[in-house]
Amino acid sequence: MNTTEKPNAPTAQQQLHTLEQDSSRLEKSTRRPGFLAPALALIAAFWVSSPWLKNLDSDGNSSTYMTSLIAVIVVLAAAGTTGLRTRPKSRISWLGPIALVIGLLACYSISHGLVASGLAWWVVVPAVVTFVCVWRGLVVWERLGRAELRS
Amino acid sequence: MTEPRFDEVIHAPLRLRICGLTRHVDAVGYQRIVDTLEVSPAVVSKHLKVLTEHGYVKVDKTSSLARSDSRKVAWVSITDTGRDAFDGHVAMLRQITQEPAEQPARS
Repeated sequence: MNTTEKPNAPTAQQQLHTLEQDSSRLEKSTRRPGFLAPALALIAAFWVSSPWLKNLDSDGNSSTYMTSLIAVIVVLAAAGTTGLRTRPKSRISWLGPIALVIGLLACYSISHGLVASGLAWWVVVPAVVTFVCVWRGLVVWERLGRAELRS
Repeated sequence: MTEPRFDEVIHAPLRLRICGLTRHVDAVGYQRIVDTLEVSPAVVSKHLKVLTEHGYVKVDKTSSLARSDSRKVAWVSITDTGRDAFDGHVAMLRQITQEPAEQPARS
């Protein structure tokens, strides 16, 4: 076979089909472990409820440091498994995580406010909201990333 | 829209597939390429060398937490030249598949 010749229609069709299959396999490989989204959501919820925990614990900052450390370990463990470096390209892919961080900080502030007002048990509400939003947000963000991989 | 353009370097099936894998991501790990293409590492290295020599891809080596030894992990990323060549070649393949089939000569 002369490799410098243009392929015929069946060969071209076959090559395009192979590229499609490779894209699908790559897309599957970007799927993060199933535990990642709920684990990070749980860590975020724990962090949001930390003003209440600090109230119980005299060693104030230990829970925040522990939460950050666990989050870093979970993310690194999950990131090392895909063999891909991706970067969200569309604007919505960037706005999602930014909105999530702003929401997280807002919930954290609300928790502080609730503890300061003597309504410590109500911290459960922003913690649950954080858990649900972070979990759903991460799932949607991952879906968007996979869609961009095929675009 | 990309101009359909035959590319001799990318025309080789495995090189086309390597460019296809790297086209929509920042970088792909060397082992991920080997696993996806299901060919030996030596074959992938040979084709990567050709693509690198033509400036279509670049290979960066970084240390990784995923490795227990001190060896570095190779990351393959497509260059702008490689992206243009790949898009042009794929456009050419699509053009070929859309062309009407040749009519058999009448006797």
